[in-house]
Amino acid sequence: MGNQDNLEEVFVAVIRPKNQVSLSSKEYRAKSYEILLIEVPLEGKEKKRKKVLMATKILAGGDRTRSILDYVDEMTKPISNNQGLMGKRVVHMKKFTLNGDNDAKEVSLFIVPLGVKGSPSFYCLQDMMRVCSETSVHFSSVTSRMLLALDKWLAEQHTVPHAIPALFRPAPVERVKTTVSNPAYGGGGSGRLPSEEEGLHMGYTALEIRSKMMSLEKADVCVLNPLYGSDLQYTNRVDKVIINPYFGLGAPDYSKIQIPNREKWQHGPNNVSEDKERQWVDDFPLHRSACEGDTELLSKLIDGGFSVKHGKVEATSLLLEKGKCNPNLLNGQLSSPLHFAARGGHSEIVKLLLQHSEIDRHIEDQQKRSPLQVCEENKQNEWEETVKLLQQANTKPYEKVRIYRMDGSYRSVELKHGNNTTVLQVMEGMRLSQESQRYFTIWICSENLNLQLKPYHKPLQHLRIWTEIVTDLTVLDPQRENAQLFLRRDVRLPLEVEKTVEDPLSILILFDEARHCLLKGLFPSPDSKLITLASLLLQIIYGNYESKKHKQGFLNDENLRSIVPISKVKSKAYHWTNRILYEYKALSTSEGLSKEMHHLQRLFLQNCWDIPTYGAAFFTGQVYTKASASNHKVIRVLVGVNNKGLHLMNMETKMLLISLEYGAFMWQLGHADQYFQIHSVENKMNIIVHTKQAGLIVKLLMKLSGQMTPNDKSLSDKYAYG
Amino acid sequence: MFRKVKKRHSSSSSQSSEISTKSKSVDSSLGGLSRSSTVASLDTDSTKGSGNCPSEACSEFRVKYVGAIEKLQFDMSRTLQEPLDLINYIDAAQQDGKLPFVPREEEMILGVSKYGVKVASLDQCDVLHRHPLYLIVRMLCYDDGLGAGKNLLALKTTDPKQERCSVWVYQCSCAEQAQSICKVLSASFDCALMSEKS
Repeated sequence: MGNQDNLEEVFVAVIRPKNQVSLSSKEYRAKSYEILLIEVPLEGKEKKRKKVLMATKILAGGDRTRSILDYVDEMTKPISNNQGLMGKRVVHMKKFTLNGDNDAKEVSLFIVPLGVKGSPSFYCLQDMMRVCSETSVHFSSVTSRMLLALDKWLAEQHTVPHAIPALFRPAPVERVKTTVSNPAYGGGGSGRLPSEEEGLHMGYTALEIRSKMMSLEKADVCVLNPLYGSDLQYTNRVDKVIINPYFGLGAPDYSKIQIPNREKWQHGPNNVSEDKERQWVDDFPLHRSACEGDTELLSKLIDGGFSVKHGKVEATSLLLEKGKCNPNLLNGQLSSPLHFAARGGHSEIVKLLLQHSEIDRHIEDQQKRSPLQVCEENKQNEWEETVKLLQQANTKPYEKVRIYRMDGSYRSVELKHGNNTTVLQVMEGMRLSQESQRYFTIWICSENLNLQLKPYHKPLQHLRIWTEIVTDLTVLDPQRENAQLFLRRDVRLPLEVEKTVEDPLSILILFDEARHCLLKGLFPSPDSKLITLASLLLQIIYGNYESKKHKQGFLNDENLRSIVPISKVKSKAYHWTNRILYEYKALSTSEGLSKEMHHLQRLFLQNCWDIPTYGAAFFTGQVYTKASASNHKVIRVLVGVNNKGLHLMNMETKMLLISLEYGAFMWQLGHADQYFQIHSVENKMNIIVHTKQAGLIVKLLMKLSGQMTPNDKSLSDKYAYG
Repeated sequence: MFRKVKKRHSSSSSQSSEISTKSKSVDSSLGGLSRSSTVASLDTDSTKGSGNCPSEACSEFRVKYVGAIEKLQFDMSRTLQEPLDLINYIDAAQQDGKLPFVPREEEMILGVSKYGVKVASLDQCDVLHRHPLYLIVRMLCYDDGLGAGKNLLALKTTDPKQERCSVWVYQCSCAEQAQSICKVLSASFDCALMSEKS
């Protein structure tokens, strides 16, 4: 006992499962286990024995596992035919504090699991637990304390997945398969110093091997971050933020993009120096737009006086001619190029601008000043020459524009304000009577698109951008649509007012248009009506019927074309010739009928007035019908809108499909103005017409049906129907 | 099973001949286990193919990571010299709850080359562990004993000053794979030795 300090007192619970199955059970049952207990004589009562856990003393700090397993082996030899039991492992369960005679001491309880088979002297753990809870006579107090703890511990282990199977798993020696050890550390095994010979591995010592392996770790190149450890403060502060002001606004309409004022999107002067490389972009917008092919911006800049302001004659000339720039375009301060040039006294440019056919020489700036005034106020450069030019210009004749009538004749109207001349000003130039001016207005028409202009519209500017308008409103090739200005019936003209027209010129113009529409097939009517109209036309064109002249063969193809709708010429008109001639004869010979031209023309109009589509503005569109379950048929339609209502015609056959009067139907504009829907309760009808002109159609419907109040005029479109 | 990646020098010699026993000190008490750098159970007729080692090759294996016990005092590591002690130690750690019994589901790529062992995520983007060859003390392959026949791979490493040691435990997909990993590591040790003599 001299070495007591180095010895540690341990208790050992040798346990084994009764069968292998119980190991995988999640529920703990004490009866599944057996425990090895040793019987020792009870003090005082020689016959009685008590059961105790095995206990021994081992070297503290030594190999506990080995010591305990050896101890168990040794202790079990007597009870199992001299064959000691080899524990699988040693598991430290718990430390107990024992109150000894003198002072408290700590002892550990170790568990040594065994395999299933084995010798007797094992007791069912459940029995032991029962006994140990009933009476303590058969156990030492320490053993019973430890058994209770063991019971609890086993129960706990059962709740941990794999813990119980792991406790009873085979000893390491049965499980080890392969081991690879590093020769650099070899030889040091189990503290046994190897001899020189053994320490060598392929002729190297462990140290040499280690240095060889270390050399593999050495890098060829090493780059150190010079800032590392320099106490430089790390910051995630942002030095500069530029936000795209257009972000989130959706795909832009590239044709309408303008460069915003620099101040609007740049924050402070710092950015300017940083953006030096791109600075020219802002400093030289003209170059930029030229470089980027932005012709619209280019023209804007030029029209805004960029070249004009700086006195660049050739540039101005080039841009006006080649760039087809609008010479009257105003800048933000409502100043025109002519104002700029006049202010700067650039006589050459003023000359150039004044030569331009579309120049508005009477243009005024924001302060209502003419270019001449501006020039005289500033007196820059060759201002005297400029003044002279401007004064001379006032005496020069104005450029003119042709306003056609539907019969092909035209009148040239002076453009007092160049392309700034409005419809109202053009109408004044038409020299119609005050009365007639109410019936007519200016239309802009190409082969397949006819738009009535509002009084404040500038027709020349519409002509300039006709390509864009055609692209906007149709799917047609804009190159094929050549626009001209026409004097035509105002679509808003009420029939009641038209019926009172007596002015021969107005009647003539109305007649020309009605005839044009009739021949184009825009007046779908019964055959009898068409025949009557044809005979009236014969009377108007050829005068009174002469039986010698106007025989059967007289109405040949060509002559028919001038009196019946083109669509009927081929199909039906031949069968009508007799009836047409008969009516023509009757008309000529009828008494009491004035043969005055304007009376005849008015008679013709009278016959037209009850045609549903008379006086309509025509649009184009498409209707999809269900030809069968699977495929849709597309019908191209003409949409006529007049004071009476809405009329759909088949574009090819000119058949009237539907004619709806106001009040009998409702309409609704579709998404993105790409279609409109008409709904008639009476006819149980629902039609969707697909057309880019849907917006125009619906606005006109609202206006003509009287739904649009003056307040709604703000809605009105940029193109038509004022 | 495992794929060979980046085999830049397509040396003709097969793997098995490279993993040859350079010293055949077989400890009989361990039932055919070698205590040297080589794998006794894999002994083949060793024709020392010098220069045939997969010097730049890196073999990669899919394994699962069980856990690690890091930075043990080296005193402790001395008692873990023997493979059985190491297994005992790991067993005890598992029983104490210091190491899980089974790995997480996530698979890792364990690459073995002459530079050591590298464990990375499947996409090879995250390197979880890197064990330089000169710090690897031992690799041990053993059955986990839980009945499913799973093989664990225990890697014992030290630090450059040899003051502490760490134990890393991975689970192999099968016994063959575990054997292969040991083979390749063994070859790597030899290969490091045969690298140009400095």
